[in-house]
Amino acid sequence: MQTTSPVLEAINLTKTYDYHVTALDNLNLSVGRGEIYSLLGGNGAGKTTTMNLFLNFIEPSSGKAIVNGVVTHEEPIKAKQYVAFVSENVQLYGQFTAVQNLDFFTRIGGNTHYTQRDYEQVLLRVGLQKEAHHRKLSGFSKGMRQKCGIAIAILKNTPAILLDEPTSGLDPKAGNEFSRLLAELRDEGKAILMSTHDIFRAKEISDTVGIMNQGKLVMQKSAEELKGENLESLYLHFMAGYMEETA
Amino acid sequence: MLSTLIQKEIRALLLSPKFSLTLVACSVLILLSIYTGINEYKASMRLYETASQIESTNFQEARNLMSAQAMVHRQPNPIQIFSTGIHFDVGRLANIARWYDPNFTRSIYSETPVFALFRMLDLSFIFQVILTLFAVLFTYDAISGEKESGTLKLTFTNSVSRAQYLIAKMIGSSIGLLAPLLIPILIGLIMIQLFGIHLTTEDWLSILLFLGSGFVLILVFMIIGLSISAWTSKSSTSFLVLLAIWISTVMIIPRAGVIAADSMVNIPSDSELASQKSTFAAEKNSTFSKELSAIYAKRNEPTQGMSREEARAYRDEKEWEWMEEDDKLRKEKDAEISEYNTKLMSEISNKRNEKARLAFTLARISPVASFQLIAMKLSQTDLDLKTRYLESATRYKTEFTGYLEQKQKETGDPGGIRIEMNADGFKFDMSRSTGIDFSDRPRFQHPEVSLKAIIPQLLGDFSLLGITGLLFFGLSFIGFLRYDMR
Amino acid sequence: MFSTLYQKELKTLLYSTQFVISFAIMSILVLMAFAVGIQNYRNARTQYESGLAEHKTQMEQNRYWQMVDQKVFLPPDPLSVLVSGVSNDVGRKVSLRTSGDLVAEDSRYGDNTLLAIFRSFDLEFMFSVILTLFAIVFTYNAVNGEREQGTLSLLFSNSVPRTTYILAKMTGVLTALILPLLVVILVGLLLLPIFGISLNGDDWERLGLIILAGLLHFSFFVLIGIAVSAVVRSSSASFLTLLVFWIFSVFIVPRAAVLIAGRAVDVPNSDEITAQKSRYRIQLFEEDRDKMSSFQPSQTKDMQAAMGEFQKMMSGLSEERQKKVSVLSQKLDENLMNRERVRDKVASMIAQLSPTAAFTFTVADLAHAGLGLPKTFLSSAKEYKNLFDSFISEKTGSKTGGMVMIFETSDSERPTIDISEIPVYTFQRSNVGSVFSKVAFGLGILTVFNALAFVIAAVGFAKTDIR
Repeated sequence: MQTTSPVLEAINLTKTYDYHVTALDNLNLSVGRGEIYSLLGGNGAGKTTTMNLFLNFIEPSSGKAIVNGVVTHEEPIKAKQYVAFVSENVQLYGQFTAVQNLDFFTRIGGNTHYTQRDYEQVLLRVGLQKEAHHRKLSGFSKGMRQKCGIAIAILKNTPAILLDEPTSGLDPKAGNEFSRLLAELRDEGKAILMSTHDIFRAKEISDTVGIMNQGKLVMQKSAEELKGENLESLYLHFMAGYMEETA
Repeated sequence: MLSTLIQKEIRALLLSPKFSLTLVACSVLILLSIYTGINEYKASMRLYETASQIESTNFQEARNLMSAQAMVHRQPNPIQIFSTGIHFDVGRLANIARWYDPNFTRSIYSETPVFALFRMLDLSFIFQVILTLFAVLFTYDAISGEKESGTLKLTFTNSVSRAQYLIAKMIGSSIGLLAPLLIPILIGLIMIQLFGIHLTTEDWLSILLFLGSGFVLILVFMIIGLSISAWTSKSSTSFLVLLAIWISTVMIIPRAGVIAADSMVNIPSDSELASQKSTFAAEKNSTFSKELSAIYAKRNEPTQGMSREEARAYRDEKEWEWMEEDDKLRKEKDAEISEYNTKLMSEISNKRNEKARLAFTLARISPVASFQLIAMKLSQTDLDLKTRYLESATRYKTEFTGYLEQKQKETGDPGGIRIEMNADGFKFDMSRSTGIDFSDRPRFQHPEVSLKAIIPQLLGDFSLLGITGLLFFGLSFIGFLRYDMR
Repeated sequence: MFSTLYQKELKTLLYSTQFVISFAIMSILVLMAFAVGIQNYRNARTQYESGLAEHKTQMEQNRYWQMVDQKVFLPPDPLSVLVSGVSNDVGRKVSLRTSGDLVAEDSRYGDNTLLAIFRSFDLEFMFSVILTLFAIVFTYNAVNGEREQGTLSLLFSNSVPRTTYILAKMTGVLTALILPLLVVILVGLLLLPIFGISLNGDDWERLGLIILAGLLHFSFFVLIGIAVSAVVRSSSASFLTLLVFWIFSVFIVPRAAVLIAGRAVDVPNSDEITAQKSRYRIQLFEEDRDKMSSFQPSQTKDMQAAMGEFQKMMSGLSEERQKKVSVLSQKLDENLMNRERVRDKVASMIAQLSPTAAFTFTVADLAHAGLGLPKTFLSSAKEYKNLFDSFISEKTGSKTGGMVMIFETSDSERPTIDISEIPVYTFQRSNVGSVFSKVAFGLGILTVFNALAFVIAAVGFAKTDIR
C-alpha cells in the first residue's frame, strides 16, 4: 500500500490571511492509492481550507499541495484532472435534470465518451431511483443531491477524491449507503481525502484519521493504531488539550 | 411590542449595506436635479427678462403706429425647478397683431434641441422613476426575504400578531426610507435660497404639497412592494413581479394611455387650424371687398352728370357718413371672423379636453401618472398652460388693438400707407414719424392660477393615490394573513 | 471545454422559467414599440397630408401671385417615428412670406402638448431604457449566483481555466439574449412593410445600423452585468450596484451633462439678435420713409400703371434694405451658430461618457432626427425660397415679402392664378453616407465600451475568490 508514491500529499502546507490569521499551519499528510484519510476537527479547524488548497481555490502562503505528483498552485488546471470533489452541500443546476447535470459536469471533467445509459447506471449505483433521473434538480432533497455529487465524482474517474463533510445532514440510512460506496471506491484504488464530523463513521471506514485544531494537525493515527482506542475521547482530549494550551 | 418591531425594521434598514449606497445615490440625484432645475429656471428667467426688456425698448423707440409691435412672453414659474411639465415644449412668445390670432412659437426645446434629446432632470422625474424603483427595491423581500432567512419563523414563535407585524413593517420601512430623503431635499431648498430665487408663501406651500405628493407616491410603491412580497413565497419571484409592475406603471401605462387616446380622438393640428382660420378670413375679406366696390359704385352714381366741383362738394359732404358705413361693415366682418375663430377654437379646445380626459383616465391606472399631473398642476406647467396663455393673449390682443385704434384716432397716424384717391388721381401717404408715446399702452396680464384654485383640482389625483395605497395595503393584509410561514 | 460551458450557459438560461417569462415580456414591449411607431407614423402622415390639403385650399383662394403665402412642411419620416430624437421638438412648418429670417414653427410636442407629458414610446426608448434594464435583470447574478448556488466550486474542481469559463459565460449569455431578440426585432421590422410603411434602400441601411447600435448598447449592459456579478460577491449587492449604474448611465449622466455643459457655454441670446435685426430694419425703413412719401407717379390717370410704378420703387428700396440687413444678420448669425455648435459639441462630448448618450446621439442622427435636423430643414426651406422667389418675380416682376398692394376696382377683370404652377417643395433627405463619420464615431464608442466591459469581466474574474 505505501510502496507507491502518494496520490494526495500536503507538504508544509500553510495558509495565512491578513493580520496573521493562520488558517492552516504547516500541514503534512499523504493519501495513497486505495486509502481513505479522514480529517476530524471542529468548525474553523482548517479542514475546508485544506480542501480549498488541494483545489487551488486559494493559494498557499507556503508549502504545497500535490495531486498525483502535480503541485496544485503551480499547475492548477493539470492538477484538477486528477481529482474529483464532493462538497458538504452538493449544488447543481436547478434547471437541469440529474442526467443533464451529470452530462455537463463529466464533460467539464474531460470525459466525453459517456452515454445516457452510463449516467443512469451510475445514478442507480449511488442509489438514486430511476424515477428521479430525468427530474429537474430544483426539487431534489439534500440526500438526492449528495448522491448526484458522488455520481459525478465516480464518473470523473480520477485517482483522487476530495470529500468535504459529505455526510453532514444525511439520515443514518443514507449515511450508511454513502460509507458503503466510499469503501467500494477505495477498493477500486482511489485515494480519498474526507473531512467529517462523524467520528464513528470515520473510525469505521478510514485507513488513517487526522484530527485538526486551529489549523494544525494535532493527531494522526492509522486504523491499526486506533484499534481498541476510543476515538471520541481521543478527539475530545485533543480539542480540550489544545484549548488549555492556548488559554 | 409594536415599537420593538418598528425599531427593528428601521435598524435593519439603516444597517443594511444597500441603504448607504442608495442614500448616497439618492442624495446626489436630488441635489443634481435641484441644481439643474435652478440653472434652467434662471436661464428661462433670463430669456424672459431680456425679451421683456427688448419689448419695452422697442416701444420706447417706436415713434409711429407701424413700428409699435406688441409681444407676449411666457413667464417662468419658480416651482418648475421641481416640475418642468410642458414648459419647455410650449412656445415662449407670441406676436400680437390685429390681423392674426396670437400663437406661441419658439419653444425652448425647438430652439435648443440638444436639451430636447434627453429632457430635463427635475425632481418630479427623480420621484417618478428613481425613488419608486428604490421603494420597490427596499420592500420586495420584506416578507419573503425574512422567510428565506428564517427570521420570520423565529419572530412568530413569539406572541406577535400578523397585523402588528405588517403594520410595523409598513411604518418602519417608510420612516427608514423617507426620513433620510429629507436631508438632501432640505439642502436643495437652502440652495434655492442661496441662488437668490424669490419664492412667495404660496410658492412654498406649493413646494410642500409637491414634496408631500412625492412622498405619498413613494409610500404607494412601498405598499405595493410589501403586498407583492406578502403574496409570494420566494423573494426572487416577488422581485420579478415587482419589476414587471414597476416597468408597466412607470414606463408603459402613462405613455400607452396617452398614445391610445391620441389615436382615438383626432384633432387638427395648429397649422391646420391656422389655415382653416385664414381660409375663412380670406373668404370674408374677399366678399367684403366686393361689397365695398359695389357700394363705391353706388355712391358714385349720383355724381354722374355733376360738375367736378359739385361732385367734390357732394363727396366731402357725405365723407363722414360713408366712412362710418365702411367702418361698420368692416367691423361686422371682423366680428364674424373672430366669432368663427372663437367657435373653432372652442370646438377644438373641447375636443382637446375630451382627449386629455380620456388620455389621463387611461394613464391614471398608474399612480405615477397621477403624481405627474399633481406636480404639473402645482408648477402651473400643466396641459392647460398653453390654453391659459392663448386666452390671455387673445384678450390682450383685443385690448391692444383697441388701444392702437384709439391712438390712431388721437394722432391721425394712418398706421401704414394710405392711398388717397380722388378725381385728380391719387397720392400716397406714408405715416410720418410723429413721436407717439406708448408708455400708456396696456400691459399683458400673466394668467396666474392661485393655489386655492389649484388645490381642488388635485383632490382627485390625491384620492386616487390614496385609494391605490389602501387597496394594496388591504391586499398585503389578506396576503399576509394567509401567508405560509414554513 | 469551451463549447460544453457555452452550451451550458445557453441551456441554463433557456430552461429557466424566469428567463422565458422575462423574455416574453421584453419581446412584447419591443413589438409594442414597433406597433406604436407604425401608429404614430400613420397619424403624423395624416396630419401632414391634411395640413398640406388645408394649405392648398387656402392657396387656391389667391388671385394674385403677390398674395401667395407659400409655406413648406417637413414631411414625417418613418425612421424618426421609430426613433424620435428631436423630430417632435422642432418646428415642422416654415412660412416663406417674410423678409426676415425663416422660422420653423409648430413642433409636434408644442402643438400636441398632451404627448409631451409622458413622451413617446419609441424604439430608442425601448433600447436605451427597457432593454438595458432587462439586460441587468438577466445578468446581475451570472457569476455570483453560481457561487451562491454552489455550482461554481464544483465546476472549478475540474480543470477549467477561468478565462474559458468567463468567455463562455459572456458569449453564451450574449447568444441566448441577442439571437432571440434579433428574431423579435426582425418580426417588428417585418411589420413595417406589412402595415404599408415604405422604406427605401437607404432607410433599410439606416435601420440596420440603428439596430446594430441598439444591440451593441444592449450587449454592453449584458457584459457589464456579468462583469459586476464576477467582481461583487453577493448577488443582491451586484444588483444594487448595477441598478445604480443603470440609473446614472441611462438617466442621469446624459441629462446632467447636457444641461450643465450646455449652460456652461455662453451662447448669445437669440431674442437679442432678432431684436437687433428688427431694430436695424425699422431704422432703415425710417431712412427710406422720405423717399417713399415724396413719391409721385409720372402720371396720375392710369391707376394700375401708377401702382406698378409705386410697387417697383418700394420693392427696389426693400431689396436695398434687405441687402444691408442680411450683411448684419450674417455676422450675428454666424457668431450665434458658432457658439451653438460649440455648445452642442461640448454637451454631446461630455454626455457620451455614458454609452446610452452615445447610443441616443447615434440613432438620432441615423433616423434623420439628430441635432442637425432643424438646420437641414431650414436650409432646405431657404433653398426652396430662392426657387420660389425667382418664380414669383418671374410672374410679377417683384420679390416676395415686404409690402404688397393690390389695386382692384369693380370693373377691372378679376384675375385668377393657377397655383399648380408653383414649384413643388420636396425635402431631400441626406443619404446615410452624410452621417457616416458621426455614426462611425458613435458605434466606435459603443464598441469601446463593450470591450471595456469585456476586459473588466475577464480581469475581475481572474482575481475573484470562487469559494
